[in-house]
This record gives sequence, structure tokens and C-alpha cells, in this order.
Amino acid sequence: MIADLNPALIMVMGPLLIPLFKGYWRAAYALLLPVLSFLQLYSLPAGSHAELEVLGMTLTTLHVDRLSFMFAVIFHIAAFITVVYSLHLRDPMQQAISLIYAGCALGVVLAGDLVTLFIYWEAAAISSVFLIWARRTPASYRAGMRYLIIQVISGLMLLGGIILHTGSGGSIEFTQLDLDTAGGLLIFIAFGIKCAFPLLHNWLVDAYPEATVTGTVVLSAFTTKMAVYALATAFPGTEILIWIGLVMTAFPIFYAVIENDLRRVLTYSMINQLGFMVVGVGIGTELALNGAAAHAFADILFKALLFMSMGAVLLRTGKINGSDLGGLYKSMPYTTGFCIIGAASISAFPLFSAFVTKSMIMEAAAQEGLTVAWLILLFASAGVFHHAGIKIPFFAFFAHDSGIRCKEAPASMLIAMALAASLSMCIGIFPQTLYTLLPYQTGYEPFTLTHVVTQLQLLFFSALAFTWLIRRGIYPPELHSVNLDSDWLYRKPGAWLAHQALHSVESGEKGLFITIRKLSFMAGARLHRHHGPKGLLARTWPTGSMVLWVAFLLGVYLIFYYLF
Amino acid sequence: MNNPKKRYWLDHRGNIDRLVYGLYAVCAALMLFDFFYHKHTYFPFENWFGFFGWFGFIACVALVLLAKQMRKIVKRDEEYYGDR
Repeated sequence: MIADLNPALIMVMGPLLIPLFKGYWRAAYALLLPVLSFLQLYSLPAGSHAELEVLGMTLTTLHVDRLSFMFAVIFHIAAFITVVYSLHLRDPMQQAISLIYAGCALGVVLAGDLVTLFIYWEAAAISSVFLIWARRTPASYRAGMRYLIIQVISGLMLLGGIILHTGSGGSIEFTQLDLDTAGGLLIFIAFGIKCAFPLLHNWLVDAYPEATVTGTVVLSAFTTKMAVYALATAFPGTEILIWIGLVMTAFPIFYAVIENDLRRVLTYSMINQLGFMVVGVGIGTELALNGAAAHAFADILFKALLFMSMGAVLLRTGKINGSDLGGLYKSMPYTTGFCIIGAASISAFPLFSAFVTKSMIMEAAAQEGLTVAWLILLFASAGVFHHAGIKIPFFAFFAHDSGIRCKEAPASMLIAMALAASLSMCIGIFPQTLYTLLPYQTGYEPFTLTHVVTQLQLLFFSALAFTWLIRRGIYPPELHSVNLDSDWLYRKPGAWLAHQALHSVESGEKGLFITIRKLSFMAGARLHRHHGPKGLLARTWPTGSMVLWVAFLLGVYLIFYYLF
Repeated sequence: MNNPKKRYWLDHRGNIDRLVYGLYAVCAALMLFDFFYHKHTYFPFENWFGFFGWFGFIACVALVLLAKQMRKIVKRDEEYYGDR
């Protein structure tokens, strides 16, 4: 194809024409864009392309290596699947924005320098918020605002970090960075915000479930995974990432158990899966980095699949809370089936994708002798089956019959789910196809007897625990509620402080106004006293007194003159 | 739309019991399988009998019980943030 053309530009610029097309032509055009972009990517040889001289800097706007190629491939697959999923929409804006946002994420993983990275990073933040606002509810508007503020803060920290990094003699090339420098630390935190590090995570669980049916699916694929890519490129083998990742795998699953909004449950499980990838990047061995990349690849597919199935439920029933759903397998059998495939994939059942990808990270942790880390990952593996693998399909499609009878999901949605489901199974059954894309040649064999049996034991006994807890009535019921998370800090005390500050400024303003009025009134009164009709200075004066005054002023002047 | 009166296989209580007994049987079989093969492990505790089975069970029960307690602290009314 065209030498030096960045595939990201096809995905960012191409969708601008989507509103010009109608009906089938629009669908065909939207589907064509990721295909064209992928062909362009495929034709590019590895290495740096499209170098630009800007303000004395050499920008490498396009750089292809094994890691970025792998992420670029899955981003294309995800973009294609989400276009298929959104074909039922009569909202060209959403379709166009989805692709533009995907293109920005693609630009991030193909960026060879930090400035290009920053530009796409910010563009991804700004374009993605429209997928939240497109739901057109007051709640989504406010959640989108909070999301945008945090995303832009991440961008600003990235920019600050880049300025510090290059100012202290660092290269502008996007490559491994040093966490011990101020610039490196800022960039690390910027990546951490998008990767949903603990306490920096809340934009994700706050905003994603407020997006549109298709918006959440699109959002789930890109922002966090481009952050994983950025961490894997800039900070591989950084030990603190292991501990950050472990917290990410463990704490969200507690929230996931008590959360009622099933799309929000999935966002918590997303942080849990990101935790595995972050641990992999932190361990930093070839197997661990392979595991992080492979798991990101698999996660995009099965997480999109789960979000798609929940999106179909939301579209058809208008409900998404576990407490309002149940028994939908009767109305939506295909969606149920695809959801179960997604659940099996995220839970790492043998022959499903995470069984070959997540276990690479666990194996790498074991090889490095990280006992505590390995045990926490094992706990998180059992937990993910519990809250995502069982809870999602159980409360949506089974449990008690909610009495809801609706239509099956639209055909385009079913096709998109079928694509994601078959790819997830393809990775699980033929892992070699995925291995050819991995950054390193490590030759990991997932299908050993030990691995299959131990994994099945872990999963079936987790299922046993769920069954026992449900039948004993110990399992916490799904309730209409919100659960406080770290966003409480800025939504309650933070908002209170802001209101107080605003109030004091307002009352200060009022006070100032009153003081000014008082002062000007007093000044006016005084002026009136001296210059008014009866004022001393308003009288007609004899010339003599005028001379006297001049003499007085001259005298004062002379005294000053001699003194200084 | 399908007929709301139609009774499905899972609508019969007995069938759910059958599924649960099936699950018990699979769990027991998996546990016993530990006698019949040699585990390739990294950590000594992985070789304890049925380690992955009881770890999974205890982990999930602990997860749910702790999460239930957590509700006492973090659960608020749906209108708490006032933007629904």
C-alpha cells in the first residue's frame, strides 16, 4: 500500500465521511475502514517510518515492532467487531466517533516518539467522551464530565513528564524510561491513571457503565489496553508494578460481588484483568511480557463479548441491574450462549482464551519464585470466575425468572458476538495462532495434565462455593444501591470543598461589593460636604485666598525640595 | 416473542437438583484424580491433596463473606449522589 502512511490516519480521518453515506452504504464504508487500515498496517515493514522535523525535533510518527504490531492487530479486530455490533444504530455520530477513537488508540501504539504519543493520547481521551455523552442522560453527562477531567489530567501529566524528561537531556524517542527521574515518574502516573491503578481507577467504574450500549463495548477495548502497551514499552520489569497489579487483581472483585449494575460488575472485573497484565509487565521476563501482551489480546475479545451480551440485554429490556433481570435465557438464547462463552474465556476454562494467556503470567510469577504474588493471583483467578464467570450469566439469564419476555438481540449484534466468541475459542484451542504474534519466542505449553486438572479443580470448587452460598441463602442478594468507592472523595468531600470555596468567593464577592458601596457612599458624602452646593470648596473664593493656597503649596514644595 | 406460560427444562426444581448433584460428582471426581497423576509444580504446597480444590472453595466463600461485610460500610441508597 502507500509507504509511510500511518494506518491510524485512515481510522481517524476516514470516519469523518461516514455521515455523508446512508443505509447499507454507510455500513459498508464503516466496515471497510478498519480493513483498509489493517491492510496498510500489514504492508508496513518493521521499524520507523514517517519521520517529521517539527520545531527542531525529529518525530517518529509511525513505528512498528512486534509488541506494537500485536496491539495494532487486536485494535483492528476490536474496531471491526464494534462496527458490526453498532450496525443497528441510526446514529452516524456514534459510529464515526467509535472509529476515530479506535484510530487514536492505534496512533498511540504505533507512536515512535513521546510527542506523537501525547497527541494521540489526548485525542483518544477527547474523542471517547462522546461515547458516554451519546447516551444523552443527565447522569451520563455528569459522568462524562468527570471522566473527561481525569483523562485530561492524565494527558497533562504526560505532557509535563515529557517536558521534564526531554529537558533533562532525555531522548524524545518512546522507549524504556527511568522511574527514578521526575519526568519518568510523571509519565508513569499518567499511564497509571489510564491503566486504572488503585485509587486512580475510579473514572473507569464511574463512567463506562454510563456510556451507550455500543459505547461501553468500544471503550472497554482501547483506553486501558493502550495504557498496558505504554507501560510494557516504557516500564518493563519495574518491581512496583507487581504490587500495583496485585492490588488491582484482588480489591475490585469484592466490589464486583456486591455491585448490582452488571455492566459495572464487568468494569470491576476489567480492573482485575488489567491487574494480571500489570503484574506481567512488572515481572518483566520474556514469558511475563508475552503473557501481558497475550492476555491484553484475549481480554479485549472476551471483555468486549461480555459487554456486548450485557449491551444486548440493556437494549432489549432497558434494564441492566441484576436485581431486575433473570430468566432471560428463554427470550435471548443466543445472547445467553455467547455470554457463557465470554464467561468461560475470562474464567480461563481449558479450551478458552484466558487458559493459555493468563497462565503465562502465573507461570512467570512461579518461575521467579514470587510465592505471595502467585497465591494472590490464584485467589483472583478463583474470584474472577465467581463474579464474572458465574454472576454475570447467572443473574442476567438464569436466577429467578423476572418475567421479562423480549426479542433476541438484533442480527448485527449476534454476528459481532459470534465473531468475538469464535476468536476467543480459537485462541483457547489453537494457541499457536496467537503465539506467532507474541513479542518473544518462549514456547509455552498450556495443555499439560497438571495445568488442566488443577485449573478445573480451582474452577469447579469455586462453582461449588457459589452453589452452596446461593442454596444456603448466604449469597448477598442483588440490591438497588450504590457502593462507595474512591470517587466518593471527589464526589462528596471534594464537591463539598469546591462548593464551600465557591460560596466563600461568592460571599467574599458580596462582602467586597458592600464594602465598595459603603466606601464610595462615604466618599460621596465627603465630596458632597466639601464640594456640594453648600460645601467649603464649592464657595466662590476671593483671588487672595487663591494666592494664599498657591503660596502654601509652593512652601510645601520648597520644604520637600530642601529635605530630599 | 415467546410464550410466557411455556415451562422450560430449568423451570423444574428437580432438574436444578440434578445439575447440582452433577456438580458435586464432578468436584469429587476431580479431587480423587489427584491420586492418579504426578503433579508438576513450582511450590511445595501445590502438592497437598486437592490444594486447588479447597483453595478455590475457601477463596470464594471468604470473598463473598467479606464482601457482604463490606456492604455495611460502603452501601448507600441509589440516590446517594443525587444524579439518577
